[in-house]
Amino acid sequence: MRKWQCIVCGFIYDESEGLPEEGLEPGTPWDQVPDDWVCPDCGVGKVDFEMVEVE
Amino acid sequence: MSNDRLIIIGSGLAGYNLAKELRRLQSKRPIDIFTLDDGSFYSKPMLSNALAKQKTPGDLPMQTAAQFALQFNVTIHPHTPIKHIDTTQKTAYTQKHAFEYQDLVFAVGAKARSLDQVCSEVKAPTFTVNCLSDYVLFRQHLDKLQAQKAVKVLLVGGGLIGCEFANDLAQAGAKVSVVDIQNRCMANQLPPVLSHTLQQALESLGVEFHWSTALHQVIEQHKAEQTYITATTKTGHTLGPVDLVLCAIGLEPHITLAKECGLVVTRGIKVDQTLQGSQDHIYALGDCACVNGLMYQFVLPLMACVRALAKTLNGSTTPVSYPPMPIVVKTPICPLVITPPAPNVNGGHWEYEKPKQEDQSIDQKALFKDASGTLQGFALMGRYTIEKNQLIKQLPPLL
Repeated sequence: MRKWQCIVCGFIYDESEGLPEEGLEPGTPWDQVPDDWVCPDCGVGKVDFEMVEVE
Repeated sequence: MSNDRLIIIGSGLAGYNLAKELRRLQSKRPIDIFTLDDGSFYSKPMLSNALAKQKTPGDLPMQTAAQFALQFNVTIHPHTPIKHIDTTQKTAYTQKHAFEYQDLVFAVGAKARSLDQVCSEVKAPTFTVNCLSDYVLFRQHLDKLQAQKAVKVLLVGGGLIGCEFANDLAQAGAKVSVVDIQNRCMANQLPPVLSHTLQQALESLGVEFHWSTALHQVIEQHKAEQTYITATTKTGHTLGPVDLVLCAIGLEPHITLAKECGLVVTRGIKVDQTLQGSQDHIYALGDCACVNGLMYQFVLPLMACVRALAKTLNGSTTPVSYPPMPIVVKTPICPLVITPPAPNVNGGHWEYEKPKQEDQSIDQKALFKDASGTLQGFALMGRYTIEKNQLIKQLPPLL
């Protein structure tokens, strides 16, 4: 499982946790997050996320 | 009425994200949000590249005020200015009503500086874009003109936002002329070599630059049923004719209300590291706040403040800290990421990486080293942007 971070605001999408409140079940890998999904905090698109190392 | 009400003034990223973060922390305290606009929740960073992403202004709101209020159990007062705050009685007044609060947060943002602040005679409609309603007006005008012809735009300001708009407009087919009092692109953030590279990349899209140029006069004229705008520089040169003027010359924090309540205001509303102002129970964050002397008007520091202030307002006082914060500049023709040195870094200089044989012209790397040789900032272009995460680890925190 990987983590992805919004480069604009720092929000982190953790694949293992998903985002249940947005319909993304825990364990949803990044490539199955819809292309039109946007950062829940600042609203930029999926393209503005990058993979971060798991700490 | 409840005595632990939180009032947030402003419904931008700062105000709304603070409310969301408090709910994420399970805070149940009542929250009232006052805003001058309709309170739709949208992403400001999207405004300067909406054309490239083929977004109309109507596509940008993620939620209406009503949807946001319902989801996060807050009360939103759209189109409702706060007229006065009595900080002793802890009461905020609108035109018609009084609202007692336990804590009050200024998340009022900033306004774009307008052209008449730098140009003595402005007799033409000009645009600034710092919020969605600005952008709606700008796009209505642009789209109408674009339906008729190739639009010529005079873009005042060659800084970060100016360069982003130049890229977005030129890529959408507009003929863009940039004019700036400074002598190069993003002069406050980039070393000269990279400014030049960015300029060349934008020129490849047809953007023209007029540097070290102050405007004296911007006038709308009518001729044979055509309307156009010309500008005269302080040295007597004429620019244009153009079809529209967009101004991107920086931001001014909204400080009037804070000043009237007797808060200490410097460049922005002065707050300490817990985001508290000069009076108890008053806080500020985002584009209007000057945090421990630092004024950063972009999203990463804003979100750092949101996360800290939500904890403080939920009962556990938490000072904000700023890690080194890279800014990804939205100029797709020339990928660029910068982390300018902190304002308190004295002295220092930029070091350029020597180009390698395989490098294209936009592949550039510059490191800012202080007097003792410690890395304090960087600017990366083209393929070097991938080194951001490696370099960011070497930088000291800003706060």
